[in-house]
Amino acid sequence: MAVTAGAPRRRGALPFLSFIPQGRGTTLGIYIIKRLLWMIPVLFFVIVITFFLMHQAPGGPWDREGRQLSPAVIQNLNIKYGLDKPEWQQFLTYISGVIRFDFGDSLRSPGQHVSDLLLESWPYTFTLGALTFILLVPIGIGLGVIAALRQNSLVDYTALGLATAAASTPNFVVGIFLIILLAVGLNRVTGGTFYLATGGMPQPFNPFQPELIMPVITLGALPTAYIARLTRSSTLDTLRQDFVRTAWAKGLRARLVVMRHVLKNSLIPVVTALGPTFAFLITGSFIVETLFSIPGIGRTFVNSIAGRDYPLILGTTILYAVLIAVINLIVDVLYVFIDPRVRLTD
Amino acid sequence: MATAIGVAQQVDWDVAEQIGLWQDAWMRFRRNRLAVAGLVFIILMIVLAIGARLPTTPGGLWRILHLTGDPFQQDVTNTFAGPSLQHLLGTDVLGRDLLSRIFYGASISLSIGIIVQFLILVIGGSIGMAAGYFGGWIDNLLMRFTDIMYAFPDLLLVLVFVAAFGPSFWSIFIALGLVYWVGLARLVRGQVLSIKEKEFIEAARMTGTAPLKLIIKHLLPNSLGPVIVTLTFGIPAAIFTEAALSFLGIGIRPPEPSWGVMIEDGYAGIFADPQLVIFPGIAVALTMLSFTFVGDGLRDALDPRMRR
Amino acid sequence: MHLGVSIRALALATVFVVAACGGNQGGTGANPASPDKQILRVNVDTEPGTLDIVQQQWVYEADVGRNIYEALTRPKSDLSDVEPAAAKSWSVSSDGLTWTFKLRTDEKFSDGTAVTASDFVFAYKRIFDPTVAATYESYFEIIAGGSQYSSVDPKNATAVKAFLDGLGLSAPDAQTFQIKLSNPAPWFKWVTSLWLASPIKKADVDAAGSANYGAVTADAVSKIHGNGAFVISEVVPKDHITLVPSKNYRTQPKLQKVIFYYITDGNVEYAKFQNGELDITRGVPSPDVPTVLADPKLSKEVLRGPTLLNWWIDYNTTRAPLNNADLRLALSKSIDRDSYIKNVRKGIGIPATYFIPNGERGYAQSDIQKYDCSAAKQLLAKAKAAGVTDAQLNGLHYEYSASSARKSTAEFLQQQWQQCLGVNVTVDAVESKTHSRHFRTLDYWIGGVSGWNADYPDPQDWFDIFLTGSGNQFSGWTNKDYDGLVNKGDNSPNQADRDKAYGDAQKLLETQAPVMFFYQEQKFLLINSKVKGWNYSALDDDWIGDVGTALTMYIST
Repeated sequence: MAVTAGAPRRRGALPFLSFIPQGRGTTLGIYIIKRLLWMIPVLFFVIVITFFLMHQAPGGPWDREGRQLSPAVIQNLNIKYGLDKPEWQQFLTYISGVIRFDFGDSLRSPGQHVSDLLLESWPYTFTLGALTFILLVPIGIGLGVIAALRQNSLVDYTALGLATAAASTPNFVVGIFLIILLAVGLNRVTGGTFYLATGGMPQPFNPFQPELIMPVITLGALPTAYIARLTRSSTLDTLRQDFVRTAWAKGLRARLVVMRHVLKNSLIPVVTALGPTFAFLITGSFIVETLFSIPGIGRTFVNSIAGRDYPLILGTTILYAVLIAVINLIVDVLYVFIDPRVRLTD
Repeated sequence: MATAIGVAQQVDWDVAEQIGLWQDAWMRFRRNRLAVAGLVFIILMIVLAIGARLPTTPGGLWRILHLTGDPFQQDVTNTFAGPSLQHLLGTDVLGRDLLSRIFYGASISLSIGIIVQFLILVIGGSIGMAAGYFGGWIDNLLMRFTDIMYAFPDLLLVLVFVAAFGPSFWSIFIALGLVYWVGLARLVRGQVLSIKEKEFIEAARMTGTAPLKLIIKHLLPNSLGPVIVTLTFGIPAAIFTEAALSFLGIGIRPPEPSWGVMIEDGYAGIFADPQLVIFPGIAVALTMLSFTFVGDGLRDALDPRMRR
Repeated sequence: MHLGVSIRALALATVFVVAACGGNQGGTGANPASPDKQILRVNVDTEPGTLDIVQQQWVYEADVGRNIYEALTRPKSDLSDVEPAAAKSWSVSSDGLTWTFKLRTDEKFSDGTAVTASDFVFAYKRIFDPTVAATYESYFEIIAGGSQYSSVDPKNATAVKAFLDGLGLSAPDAQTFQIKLSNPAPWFKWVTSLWLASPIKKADVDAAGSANYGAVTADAVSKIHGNGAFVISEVVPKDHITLVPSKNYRTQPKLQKVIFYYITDGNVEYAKFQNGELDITRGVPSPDVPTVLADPKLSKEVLRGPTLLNWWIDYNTTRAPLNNADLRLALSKSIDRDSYIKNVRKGIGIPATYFIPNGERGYAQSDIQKYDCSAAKQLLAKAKAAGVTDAQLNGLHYEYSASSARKSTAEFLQQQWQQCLGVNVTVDAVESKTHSRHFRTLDYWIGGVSGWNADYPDPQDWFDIFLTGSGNQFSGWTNKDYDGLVNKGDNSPNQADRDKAYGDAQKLLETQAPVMFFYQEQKFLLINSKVKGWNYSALDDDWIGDVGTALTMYIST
């Protein structure tokens, strides 16, 4: 299944589906459906592992520093949330809930459904992540290609320097430096007439908010650098292929012709990396959301683990698993379009 | 292409030629000044790291030579001091000599950065290769497994890991390796897929030759570039993750410093004393840069197409 | 990437000790700005988990609860006693068991309906409702029938109803709320001042359903009606909550809006304040303290004040060699607290070798645990003579809940023990929940920093911590003399007897040293110079003048 080499033996759809007219589109359709069906066992295993591992993690939802809860209150809280039952029973209850799209109530926020909490915060994260992604793809790939074409030039070294700086500076440092410069610094220099607000994200769906400038830079610096380096390296590799070198030698027009081919070839590892990058961006960054007061899902997730909010941990994990599976599917389908030799087979 | 195959086959069969290959690679590596500079810096850092622990901790050789102070000796009346003759880079939150802590931290951060990348290469590389090479249900199974691993809350994994195996320095390598291999696996798989489609592999397949050897031989030069990039980016990532992990009890114990932990601690005072973040940050950046140069140099040196 | 980001979170995720309310002297007057500028922007660190006061437990929840509700009483500004709030007066029967509160006749919920005694009965019963599982329940168990709480099965509706109806809570008439106690407890007046013991509108709970009442959602605005000076006007989940004056409260504040933000990161909070996006901070990152004090503008906006929050280091007295009291005292006497406060905390905090914080009844300066290295060495020698071995000493671990600030504290302690006693203590950083579990199950050697923030300024709140079997002490310490003294202090109606018993108990505690008293917290925060009319009390926690103050605060021109 997945994307495999196009050995001519098993082209097209499955034998028992042979009544369906065969063509690339149909194959793709069936392929996608099969991959979507595969998500069910993937999700199931993610839930199983998360569920039992999370109960293994030391401490429980009612452990805290400082003032302690009385044993009677803990007992009643356990009964209230069904935590008094054996784990396998809790697991069955949970699974039967998931089938009905009921992900339970949060332990930290009494009376709130996990699904509501996730729907509340994910739009913020998605807007920020998708915006960052849309900006970083052309910038990263562009920088990488230019750096490769002008290898060992000033452009190349600048790109390399930026990439190194971005990768070796943790994002909480990048974020706070931006705040010091663009918010506090600008405010002081201009006497309060022009500066960026340090945070907030007033509208969940609007990508055109000045508040997003600093979070996008903080979130995007590292992946942009990574994509640029990856593109540069892989473009250099392609440029060394014999056919390219020959074409290169022939002159400018041939170069242009070849450029398209080079790009297509060198983008394969980049596309592979873009999948996890996109997943990373839209699943939210705890640091960026904390620094810039964005009510996103990255914080929700980390806090749920730190607080042992079991239903919220599971709910977020399921959401992440679905997102990642879908993104990986998209990447695998994209291969077909980038590299026509790669074919979808059973 | 024909040249490339020829080289590969010769290497396999002719020991004398193999030595020639490595010598040739080394010659080409030496010609790359940046790569050499990177290598020199890495060796220097390793020497500094060893010197910070030998012949006697704390402080090691550098303290004996009065180059640095003692990385553990507190002087709480002299905290956040700026650079001076006594403390070349100043002091930290408890008045400890910053330079000696950076040297000492090198021993921890370098070993973490490098060993973890090695683990990732082994796990991610073999899974990616297997998935790409075998294809079919093996590929599908392995890739769904990576889906599970990627979606899985790594924080939980680590928490349970610590609870089960107890806090130890080595558990950090395992924990990091277990979490980070996924990206590389997908990358290598993609590379294998595209190489598999190359004409010479098809040709080999048709003549009945086992294509695995060929793939490995071609995978190396062809995908070394992206793999090196991923691994070099992994070095700072591992260093910073180690810092985060030490807050969970795996990794280094206070008061031992690592670069990541130093940056993490320095963050608390970033307005007043940014140097506590900047100096270890520069150490991480230079290390990563050096590995990048060495990696690029290695790739060029090992690429048969670059041979003359 | 992914891992690093998520795990670092634990370093940032902080846990708080809950406290109660107050109101002292404070900021001086100037002309108020126009009503549209009367907006106060405050940071409460974390979004409340619930708006149901009965289920609230953290400081960041009380911040909101206190402003939209009003309990029977509130602490006087000098913390000497309580004063009337929703109750206009009260009386206690001669046996000290029956407390009768007369409610104000003009007390109203924000929707205009009058507050009656039955609303109090309903709220107090909700605290005891085992299906709600309110975390502050144990504070109210002194109410007659309350001690049955642990034996009620929440799944048995009839049993629950019988239990709740059997509590000593009644409303003889609309204006009279009567509470019967099982023991005479002079400190109970303070319990009636807790924000969570405010009236709740039964209709609100019925409309939302008991399980969903209080959910922090956008529609909470129309679902929650308190009797406080403010009312919720906007809930943007995970971002902020806005309060506006309640039209039905007896007086009207000048502030037209109070906005609660949730900023966890101290550096960001500091930046936001400097940027004019926040009016009051929760603190200042300690490395920045010298900068702030040297800054001509910021130094004028500093608020420094006492708190009723004390920090200590716990010893696991059930584990050798820490079962030796001399060793514990030796370890306690080898820490230079003055140097710690001056150098590590940049002067913020008061070195403490005492239990009851300065500013509260029962405070007594004490030299028993005072830093004295030679005395510590003698005590160590004595402990060694009693069988404590070097191997045991060098096997000691100090465990703390991970954060940067606590890390330097741990490293400081480690160095001090090494320097004075030559004892090499291993330092372990662990994640908060793991640490809490280790504390609760006594699976550690030395740990910290633990502390207690007064709920109300009565010594009972403190001394009960170290009673045998108390869930709030982590030392596993048992001492019959201490228990006897504290029981006497808790139940004696005579204040002088109480003081004497508590005083003796405190000395015993310091000598036996199940914990090492370390330092008393101090507030060091920034408050915009335009904010006037605030009061500060040592009981305030998150933002100055938690209670009452929002009523008098305003923004000047």
